[in-house]
Amino acid sequence: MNDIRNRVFVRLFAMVALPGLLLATTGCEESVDAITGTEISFTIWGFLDSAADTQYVRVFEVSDQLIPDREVKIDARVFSTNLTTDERIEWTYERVHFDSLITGHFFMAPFRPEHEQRYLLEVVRSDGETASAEVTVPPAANFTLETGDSSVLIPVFIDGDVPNLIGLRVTYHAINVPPPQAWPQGTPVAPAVQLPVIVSYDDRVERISGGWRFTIDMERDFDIVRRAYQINCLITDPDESAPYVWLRKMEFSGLLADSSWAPPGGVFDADLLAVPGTFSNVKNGYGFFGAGEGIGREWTPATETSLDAGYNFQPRCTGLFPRNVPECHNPPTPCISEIFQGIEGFARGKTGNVLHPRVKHR
Amino acid sequence: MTLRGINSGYIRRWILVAAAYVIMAVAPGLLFEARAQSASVRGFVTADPGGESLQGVNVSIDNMTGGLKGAVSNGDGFFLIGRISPGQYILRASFIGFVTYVDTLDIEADDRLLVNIVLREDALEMEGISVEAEREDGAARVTAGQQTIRPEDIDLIPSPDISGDLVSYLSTIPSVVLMGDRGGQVFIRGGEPTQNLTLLDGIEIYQPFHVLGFYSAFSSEIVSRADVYAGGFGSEFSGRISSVIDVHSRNGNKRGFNASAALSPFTSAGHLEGPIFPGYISFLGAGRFSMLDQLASRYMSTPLPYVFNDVFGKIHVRLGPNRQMSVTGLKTFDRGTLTPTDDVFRRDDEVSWSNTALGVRYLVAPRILPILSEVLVSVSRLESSFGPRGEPTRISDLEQFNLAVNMTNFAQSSEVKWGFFLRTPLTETVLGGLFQNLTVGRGAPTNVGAYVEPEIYVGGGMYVRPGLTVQTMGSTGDYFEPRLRLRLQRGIHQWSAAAGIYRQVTVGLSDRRDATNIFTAWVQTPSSEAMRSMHALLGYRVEPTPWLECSIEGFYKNMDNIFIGEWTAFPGFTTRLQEAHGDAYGFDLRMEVRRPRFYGFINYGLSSTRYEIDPTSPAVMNPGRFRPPHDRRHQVNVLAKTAVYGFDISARWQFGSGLPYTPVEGFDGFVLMDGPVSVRNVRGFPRVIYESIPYRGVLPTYHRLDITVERVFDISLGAEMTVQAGVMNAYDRANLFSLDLLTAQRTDQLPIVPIVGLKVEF
Repeated sequence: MNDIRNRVFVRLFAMVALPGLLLATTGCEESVDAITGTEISFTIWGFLDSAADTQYVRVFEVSDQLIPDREVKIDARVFSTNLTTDERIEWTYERVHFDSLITGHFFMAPFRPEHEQRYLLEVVRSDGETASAEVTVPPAANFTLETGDSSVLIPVFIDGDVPNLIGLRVTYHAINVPPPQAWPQGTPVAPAVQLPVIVSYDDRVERISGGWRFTIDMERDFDIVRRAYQINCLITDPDESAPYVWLRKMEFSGLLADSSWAPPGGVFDADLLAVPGTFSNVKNGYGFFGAGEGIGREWTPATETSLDAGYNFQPRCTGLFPRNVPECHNPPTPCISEIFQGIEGFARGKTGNVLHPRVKHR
Repeated sequence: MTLRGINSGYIRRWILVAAAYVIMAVAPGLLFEARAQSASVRGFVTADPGGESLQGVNVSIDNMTGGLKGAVSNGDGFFLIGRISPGQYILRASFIGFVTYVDTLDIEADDRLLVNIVLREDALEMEGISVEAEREDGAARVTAGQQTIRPEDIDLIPSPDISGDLVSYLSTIPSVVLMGDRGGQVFIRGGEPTQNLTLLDGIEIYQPFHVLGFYSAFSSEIVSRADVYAGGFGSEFSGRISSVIDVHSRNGNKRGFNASAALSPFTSAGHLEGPIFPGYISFLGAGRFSMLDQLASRYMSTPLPYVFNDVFGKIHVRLGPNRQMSVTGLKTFDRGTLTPTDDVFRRDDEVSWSNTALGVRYLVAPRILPILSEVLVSVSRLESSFGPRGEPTRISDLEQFNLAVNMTNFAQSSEVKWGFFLRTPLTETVLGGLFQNLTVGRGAPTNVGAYVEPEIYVGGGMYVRPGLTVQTMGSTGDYFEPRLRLRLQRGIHQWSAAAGIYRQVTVGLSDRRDATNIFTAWVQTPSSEAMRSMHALLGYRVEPTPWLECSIEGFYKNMDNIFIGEWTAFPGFTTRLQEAHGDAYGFDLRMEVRRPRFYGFINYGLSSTRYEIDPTSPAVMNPGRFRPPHDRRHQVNVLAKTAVYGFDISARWQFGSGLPYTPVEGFDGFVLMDGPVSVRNVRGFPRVIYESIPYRGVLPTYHRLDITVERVFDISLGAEMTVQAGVMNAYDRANLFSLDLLTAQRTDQLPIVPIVGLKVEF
């Protein structure tokens, strides 16, 4: 009886196991479709700049290759139409090789958009597939930046009915002032390096009657500049060694933008905006095409203003071991920190700029 | 369960101290109660030849008037029979494959006899595979998530080496997922590899699995046994939230010398053991070195850019009849790249890791107390790096000092385990921006705690093991972790269940978006609270005939405060960490057949794992619940082994349903339009257009057949030579290992690999 039961179990086992093995031996390679494709044809980036005589737009084909063939012109034509005048023009194609991987496909048109007029931009494939965006150029405005007095606080005014103000940045073109000597001898000291540090003022602007205003605070920004230099090993800890940075010039830029130029949450977070469709006004496509007027100014602050803000141009360790300057006796600590890693308020820029700061207020 | 809800830190600390006090006070109280009993017999059971401890030996005393008492030896071979009335007894110790030990004892009141038993191997019983009534191991022998694996089990699995490896056996367990035949990543019932607690003689080994998936630091040459808890583990284990792999190494032969040397296309290995002071002190040393460059790569078309090796050493000392001490050391090294050699981005990054571990274990069974005490002191270090060889861009070091005191009190119908521990993990990490929102450096979260876990026999075949661990974990807080394990044995039927809460403060962070990126950064949890998981499982096992065993076990695992890499549209090699929670559930079905000339098992695992980013986490996009990349839904393993004309033929077939991946809709470019951007001068970035829900695609299924044939030849001077021939992936299945979503480039696992191996044993 036991034998019969045993045989039954053995057969049962074989019946389960053998089909599995047979199935296995008939197995073959299965392909996998990693790229499923999409009906979207184009991604568009650019804006109509009412301050410029030539307009540019960058067009990407949505393809199944991360790095498409760099020598092939994309299958697209670009047209813009002034919806007020019905004037329609075709833009001309231009290709730029940025590096060994990235090629830019641009279209340009030599015209200056009119304030408060609406434009339609169309990107058309040879089979008629079209991606398009409509924008309204914002009204004209006056821009004032008062750099005349020697204050570290610089007021900025925009007079006009501008619906949106974005990309307000102050760039500090500074240079570190390394100590002429370090102790023990041979301790590495960073050379003089110009590191532009950009500070965003997007969240400091205030709407007032008939316009906008904000104030550039050089003293507050000096802390950010100094930390950027410190994290890049260009100066060492202020309590231990030569902390000096000198300011060579300042630059302000911004954009008087149309109302559609508003990212979700009011923040230009590259990680968020890079998600396709997150911030887009393009129909049947990805990307963003806006309108606005670029504003900007470049100036050299007075020496006293820079000193008041915290900058200094004199290396502290001049002469032979000054007794009253501790850092000349305490050698600069060799800095091995990773660039930008860990610094609060800074992150690598994703626009191709050196740095895109996210200022954190305390 | 956390005490964070209580406002006053003072009160919290007092509750913790009080709980620890209860553990420390009550458990010795049980000891005191036991001390008031009458006579007892205790001792260690060892095997002859070799002197290895024997676990699971039935030791009984019989006064020939129906008074029968017994105990089963534990992992150290220790047994204790208490509450014995004065009289004359026959002591028996029996274990399959050994001659039953019989002795006569005259026991007087308050006697505390120490009887160390040596069981001699029974040459007759060792012929062929026989039925083992007392055995604790087996493919279907699972009790509340726990499975015991012995070297004999490991050697059943076809592998490229004649000596098997623990990881080969682990890969046959349902719900244990290996991402492929490389990478050294073992996922158990939904948990991440860094959530597994792997111990070697009580020393924590952080990354024990080698880069080539057939190998780990635990070859069958050094393993005495391994207890794998897939979940629901008891209070004696803490600090990890998924599973426990508790490996015990052999002590080495105390009577004579043994040695072996083996060569296969993948590795060369050797071991040597023997007495330093016969009968008292023994040593065991083993080493294994990869031979991929020298052998395998010469006849395989697939590049195998891996180097790995491990060296193990142990000295075991019998300090006296009731005291033992051992010193265990382990060093492992792995280096390799999982990136395709024809990678379009020409990444030349390598990942490497090295474990260094040293531990001392002292074991004593005091004569006057019914207790077994264990003291463990160990230091373990893991060094990992990632980047170009010699210039790593990411580094993670983890070093931990561990002190543990474990006690077992033996009473009439209960056994109480209790103890305390101190761990001081020190982490030092340079991430190179891998996780953009994480700034780490050094971390040193001290972990102090105590536990108590009685096992009570309540009658009717029912055993209950409630447990409680109380611990403080660095700055994250103080925690109570209740546990419960149940077992009901009724004839051929066994029901078992387990549940518990688990915490982990030292966490391993990996970017799982890319299967080829296996660098793990160990840090103190970025969260304010330790990772937490809750396990529940229920199982049934039946042995309808002595040669057949079947089991089924269902499980549920819930995980909180875990961290995952975020999907964004940038084709970047970095990501942001997001706090998440998840759960896993499923069941295992197993059937094992043990016949004199045939051994086989078949098992099936169904598992489902889901992760979800916490709603409060500042994620770019929250995809809701999604399948993580290790969520293998179905697994089947079939093993058959038989002996024909002196040849051992072994075949194993494994099947796994496809792992999830995130399909790509296409590629374009991204320019951040955050101001008056001159688009003509800005380079922009290539962008991946992923499907909105990650891991919604399913990769092809995985299946493979491995076959080996072995024969042992006697050669002169008592030596044996084993010759193995076989083939891995016998029908050359193109199993996918990874799919580069940026380039659609696929990397397959090993193709058909013919193997020939040779092993000589002295």
